[in-house]
Amino acid sequence: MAIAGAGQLNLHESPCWGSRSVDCFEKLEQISEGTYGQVYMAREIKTGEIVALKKIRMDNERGFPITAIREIKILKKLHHENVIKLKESVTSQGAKDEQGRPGKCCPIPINNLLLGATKYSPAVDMWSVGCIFAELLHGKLIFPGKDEPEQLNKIFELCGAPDEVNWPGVSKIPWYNNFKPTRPMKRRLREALGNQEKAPATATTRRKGQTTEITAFTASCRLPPIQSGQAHAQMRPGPNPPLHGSQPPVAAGPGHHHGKPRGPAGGPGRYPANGTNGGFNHQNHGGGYSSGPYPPQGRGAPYGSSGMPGAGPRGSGGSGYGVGAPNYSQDGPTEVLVLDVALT
Amino acid sequence: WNHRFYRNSNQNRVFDGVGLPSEECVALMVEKEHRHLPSADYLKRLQSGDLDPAARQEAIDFIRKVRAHFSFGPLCEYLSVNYLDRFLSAYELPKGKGWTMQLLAVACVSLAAKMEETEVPLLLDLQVRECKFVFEATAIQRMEVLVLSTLSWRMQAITPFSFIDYFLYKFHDDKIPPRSSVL
Repeated sequence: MAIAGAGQLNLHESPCWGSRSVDCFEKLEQISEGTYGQVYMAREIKTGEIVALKKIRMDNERGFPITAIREIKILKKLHHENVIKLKESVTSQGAKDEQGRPGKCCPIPINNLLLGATKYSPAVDMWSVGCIFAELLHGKLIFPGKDEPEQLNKIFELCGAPDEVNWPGVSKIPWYNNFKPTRPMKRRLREALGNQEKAPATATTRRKGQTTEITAFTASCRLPPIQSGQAHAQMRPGPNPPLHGSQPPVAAGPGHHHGKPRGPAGGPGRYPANGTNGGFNHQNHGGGYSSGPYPPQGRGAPYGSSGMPGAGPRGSGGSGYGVGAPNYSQDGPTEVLVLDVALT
Repeated sequence: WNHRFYRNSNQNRVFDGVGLPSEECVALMVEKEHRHLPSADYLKRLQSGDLDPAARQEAIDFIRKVRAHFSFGPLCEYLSVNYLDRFLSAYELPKGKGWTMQLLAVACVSLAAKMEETEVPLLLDLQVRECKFVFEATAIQRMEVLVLSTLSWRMQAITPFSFIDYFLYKFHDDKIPPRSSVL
């Protein structure tokens, strides 16, 4: 895969980028929908070329979604037959809703914080990366749970149940007691995925040497140990110095300022202990991380803990501005990313 | 050795040799750099008063303030100004409406932060103290889109930051320089 180095984006783009309207395309049918917006199969009127048209949904408070910005940034860097190619961004005129990209890539909703852990950290990202590699290797979803309890169970079955040894501090995490497995479960990751080296070559394992690397990655795919990394917010001094160092690793219950985990906030009592689906917010496909305090990035990034001024401009002005702000379905801007992907 | 170091190095590409551009890439970057610059007559237009240099300076001051307030990295600031200049050179803002420049500055810094920063404040929060005008999120959002399309969605500008690693490497006889020398 050709990954462009720092700052070398846009090297191969066509000159017409961004200058056209979505009217150059005719929507044929909707392919998928997520929190990001919708994806349509569409035809470029002039050439007849079939493309995926992703309509990006605007965020009322954050403007053009950071997820879309990052997506464009990354897609422009990647040039590989197995990675969807970002063909063009177009805007719609007049009525505004926006457009995004195809549901071809990401059926992987793994990167959330588990069990009510509230610290987003590099370990969480590593977990996500591990899951993605494991799924590429495996050729299918590795934790295909219908809801969060089921998904957690799948994770425990494969990775072993979390305990104080493999995840120090886990027993103090808000929902640990609600979800800890009733029987011991051993880690069987290597058994399940480790022999993939002998498996028929897949797109990702085709190249020699890559296989072991991916397997190693897979093997390091474990529940994110909450202490091992620092929350992103701590990587730089915010306007107010962060106080995390003096805080316990796990903030529990109502009133804490860390990013909220997915699902209802407010503490263990509000999470159904019986494993029913009601209180969860599980989305299985395509960018469906919606319930954190930071929707565009999902995963409960600890925005609230970053030291950003909680009572600042927003505190003083938020309510006032909120009133009368048109919602995006009426008049949010419209971007269309058009991607050429074989929709067969 | 503070947190800042880590994030800065992250932005500027830490010297780990990973992502070091090849000669070919550098050549391409040089070739494409002009796509991420204001038009050739931009400076002249500023000097002649066709564009208002004081308004531009005010916008940049605002960007600096935002950057300092949120501890954004240097690349974020650089990109913000890059977007601002490119936009001004390509799009005629209505004359006599000072607020449009302010709106543009907010949109530019917001976009740059979304490109480069780990955490991006709400649009309302971006408008830190002493703003003459405070805009609703939807207004900023529309401006963001106007900037994006005016700049042809070329937001990952090739900047001096893009070349730093390469030159450091070259200065060190084609070796990865020790971290201490980069600091």
